[in-house]
Amino acid sequence: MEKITTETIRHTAMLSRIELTEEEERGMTEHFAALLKQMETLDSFDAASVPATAHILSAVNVLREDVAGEPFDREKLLGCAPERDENSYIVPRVVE
Amino acid sequence: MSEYIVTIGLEVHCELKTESKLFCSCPNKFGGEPNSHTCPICSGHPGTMPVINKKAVEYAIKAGCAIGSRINKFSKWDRKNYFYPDLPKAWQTSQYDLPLCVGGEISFEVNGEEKTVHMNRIHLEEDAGKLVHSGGHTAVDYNRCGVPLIECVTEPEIHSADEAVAFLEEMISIFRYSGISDCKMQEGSIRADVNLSIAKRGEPLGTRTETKNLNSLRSVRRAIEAEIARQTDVLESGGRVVQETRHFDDASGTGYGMRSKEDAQDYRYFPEPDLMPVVMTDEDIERIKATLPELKAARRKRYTETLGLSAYDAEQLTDEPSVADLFDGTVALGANPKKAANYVMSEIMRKGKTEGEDGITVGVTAKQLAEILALVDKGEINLVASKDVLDKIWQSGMSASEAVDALGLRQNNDVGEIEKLVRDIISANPGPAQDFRNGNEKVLSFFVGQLMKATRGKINPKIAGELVRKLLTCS
Ligand SMILES: [Zn+2]
Repeated sequence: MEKITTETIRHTAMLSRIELTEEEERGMTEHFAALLKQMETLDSFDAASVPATAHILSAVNVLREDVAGEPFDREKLLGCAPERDENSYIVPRVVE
Repeated sequence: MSEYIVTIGLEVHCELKTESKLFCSCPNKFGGEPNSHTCPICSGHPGTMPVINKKAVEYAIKAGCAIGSRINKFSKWDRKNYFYPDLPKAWQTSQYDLPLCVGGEISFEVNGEEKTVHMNRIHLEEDAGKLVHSGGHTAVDYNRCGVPLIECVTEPEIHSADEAVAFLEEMISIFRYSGISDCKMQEGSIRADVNLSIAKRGEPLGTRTETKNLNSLRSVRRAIEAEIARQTDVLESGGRVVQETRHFDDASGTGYGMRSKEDAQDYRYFPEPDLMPVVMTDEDIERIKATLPELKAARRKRYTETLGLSAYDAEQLTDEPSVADLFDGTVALGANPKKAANYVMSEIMRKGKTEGEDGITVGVTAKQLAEILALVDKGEINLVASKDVLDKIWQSGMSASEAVDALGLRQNNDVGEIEKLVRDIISANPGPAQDFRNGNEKVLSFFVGQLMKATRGKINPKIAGELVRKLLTCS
């Protein structure tokens, strides 16, 4: 199993857009390692004869007909945003 | 530069023409006021649950059937995680390891040669929203968010800009004929990512770059040409190509690398717990396949081999599915294929092009057109007058013969009346009459033209021509 390093934590934090202090990084490193250790418990289970499962439930084909409904009240949706203008959500400028 | 072998793989995103979005019932419509086609599901509110649009699944399978893919009888959904404001949930619901369609191929002609490109897969996913950057902030519009998309991935078997463009043209034609997408590039309903590397002959593949979001055939061509030139320069000057995601700027015609580099691993795909897998039986797949119409390549072949049209005419007629459908319908109603083809290619395409903004607007039904052609055939109207009839019935329910009567265009086939007119024209033009008697055959068409003018085209030109000749030679 891959070893959890400070690098792993920094990479994951970057992908999650989270800033961590050095102390938090250390804490997370230990926490992640402990979690993975727990997962290793599963290795003791012989899963060779169990087919891979795509979903924990057995239901399939939960589909709806293609019928357009009335759109939701825009004001209610925009009203949830921390910042907005007349018809759009406003976020800090992002250009990738 | 030609000593390098270019290897290109395409990822084509194509919006499906459903009524509603992929996971909610918001209308799937282009344009509209920002955020006017949204709801808590497609704007990513916590606690909302998506439900899959059955038609979108069927359209994706139909796309696969159209290009000979194997349809996965068991397919599932995955989350592709990334943070960007065009995606309110912070993940795109997509398909990772069990897509709806696997494999398939598209054949097309490029510079006179037949070429086949194999497909890797087609999967179904949701489109993202639109960002408008201005000043210090970005405005977000989620109207497009959740619109069903198919992502079609080719094998890296394309070797030039010409091949890439010809491939895309054929794919667009197949999807438009199938009725699953309009593939309107200017509305962004089809977009391509280009993966490109170069290497010297006999050497292993070079490092590839990915140029994202090209939304016209012209940008695809220019981006490929610019990237080949750039990578060649890098290698020739002793450098090495860096694997990166790039953007192509249409205005300047140059590509640029993006700061953030995201390899597949960084998307941290995992199975979507809110959606159940899709299971298809052989019967389901057969039923969907049966809804596919005859596609462009097959029609082109039938037009040349069965109907005896030229390759050029067959190509012209099959360019737009609506035009090909009109032609087929008209021939099915008894019109002569060659005459129908000529009429569609001249009058219908001319008129459709001037009035339509995108492609060709077909403003008549096969029934209306077949009647026009029958009236011309029977000599009740001539070709010149038929244009007025076409104008009259275009985008109206009027029949061709109603229009002929309304316009007073019924052709005069009365030999006695025409003869009188011919005598008048001849005596009014003694000079040209003498020219004809002196052996100048060309004068004949001058007289027919004068007759048409005098009667506003309401005369049978064939009868008129014969009478002019007869009266000029025996008087
Ligand atoms: Zn919605």
